[in-house]
Amino acid sequence: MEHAGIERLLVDRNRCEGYGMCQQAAPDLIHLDDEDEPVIDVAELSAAHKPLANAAVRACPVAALTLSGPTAH
Amino acid sequence: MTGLERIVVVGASQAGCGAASALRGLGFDGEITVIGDEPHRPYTRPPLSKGVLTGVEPEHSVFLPAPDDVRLRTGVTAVGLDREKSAVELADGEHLPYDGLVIATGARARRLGTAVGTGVGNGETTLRGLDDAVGLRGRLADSRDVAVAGAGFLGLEIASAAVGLGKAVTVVDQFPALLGRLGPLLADLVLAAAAEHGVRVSVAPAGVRIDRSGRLLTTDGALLAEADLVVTAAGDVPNTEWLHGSGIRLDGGVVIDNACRVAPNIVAAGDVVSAPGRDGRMTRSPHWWSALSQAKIAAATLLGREPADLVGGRPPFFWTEMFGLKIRMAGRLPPVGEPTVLDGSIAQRRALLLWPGAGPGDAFGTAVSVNLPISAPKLTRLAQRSPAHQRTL
Ligand SMILES: Cc1cc2nc3c(=O)[nH]c(=O)nc-3n(C[C@H](O)[C@H](O)[C@H](O)COP(=O)(O)OP(=O)(O)OC[C@H]3O[C@@H](n4cnc5c(N)ncnc54)[C@H](O)[C@@H]3O)c2cc1C
Repeated sequence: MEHAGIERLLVDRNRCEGYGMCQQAAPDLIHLDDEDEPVIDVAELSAAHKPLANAAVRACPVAALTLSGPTAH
Repeated sequence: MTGLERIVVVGASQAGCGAASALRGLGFDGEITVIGDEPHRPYTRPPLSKGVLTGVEPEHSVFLPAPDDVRLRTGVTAVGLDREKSAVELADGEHLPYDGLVIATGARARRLGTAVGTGVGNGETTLRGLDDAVGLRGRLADSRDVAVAGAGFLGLEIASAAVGLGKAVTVVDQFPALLGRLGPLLADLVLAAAAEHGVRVSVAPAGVRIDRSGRLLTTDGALLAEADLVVTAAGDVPNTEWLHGSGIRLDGGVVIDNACRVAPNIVAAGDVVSAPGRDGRMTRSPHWWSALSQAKIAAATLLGREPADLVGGRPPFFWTEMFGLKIRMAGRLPPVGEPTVLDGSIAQRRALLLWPGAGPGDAFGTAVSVNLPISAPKLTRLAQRSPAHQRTL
């Protein structure tokens, strides 16, 4: 595994419609607040978080969630 | 622990990639190979009939991250399954051995053009993949009059995009638009909005067909709409041909039980599956949420774990956007009877509606929001809190 940099989950707030699929996919990393706005709970993702983070990104029906960082290609 | 070392996932889209990441999430550390016949890396389809078609969302925004630690092979087609040898046969003759198999080949657009091999069906315009969306966007730009065959969610989303681009749009279906899925109240709401946008939606009870020159006709040959672009949105067909002869049971799609099990060491998820409904009949539910939730169930089952949910155990979630309406739904479709208005009003097209379950055995009802942002989990909880009214025998 390479650790060339830190990966984070990024929400495109203009795009997010609050479906909450990300929370269902990765409850340890993201939750929705009372207004159904996603809140990223883990700022810097470790390797162990990656499968869940990917699942959350994939679960977003409007592709509002992305992974930043070196290995997001 | 389960004795699985190599898992092969066929189909590199929502369900396939979902299953791959769920397998990793459950701690599977063997080899995962995901194969997909499209040239693209995995992407999300819902924006294809919405923002990507109108051009407000760039097409590159639909791509999904590759599942972690997975061998992704795009442009590779599975043509057969040899269960005796536990191998997937690829188009180039390669045999890909597996200990566990996930079937996630989804569905393709159904075509109305009849004669196969005459080139008629081939010229038909449909919308399923990214290339279709980019192609259709270009053809829309060159057209004035657009006809859509099929008044389901997809057909109406295409109509909505087209009318938003200034086209004259006609939609024709054999059945009243969306009635079977949405029930009369919501279907009328959509039709009223379509009419206000200037879209003509009509019913051709005998059915429609597309002739050799691509015109939209009734089955007895009457021209239904003058159009320079005809788009077929007549449902989808599960991609199961590669399983023919494998002994896998097909009934509408790949038959699964409520844990997504197909056969020993074989599971399936997404648009390709057919699951027993409440009445015991096989039903398909080819929607985003189904693919997502079944992928998780399938991954757990394949690893010999107890899945956290079972197919049909939670209210399904679905959404659509058309003619200025954003509709989100959780629970049974179509809803039956009269809803309670929890917020807003139907007349203002901004409302939160709740229907109780229809049958005495229904564990949940239907919660719908129209133009009110509410998350899937909240809507699902509402539907779950609204089971059928208890009836005494
Ligand atoms: C335009 C459009 C808009 C949509 N909008 C919504 C919406 O608003 N809300 C909603 O809930 N749902 C929507 N859906 C439905 C949703 O996108 C699907 O339910 C979801 O894509 C299903 O995922 P899947 O992985 O099961 O199947 P698919 O996405 O169909 O993926 C299957 C993949 O397997 C590949 N494949 C097939 N056969 C083979 C083979 N033999 N070998 C290798 N690979 C193969 C296919 O090419 C495809 O890439 C929409 C669908 C479309 C097409």
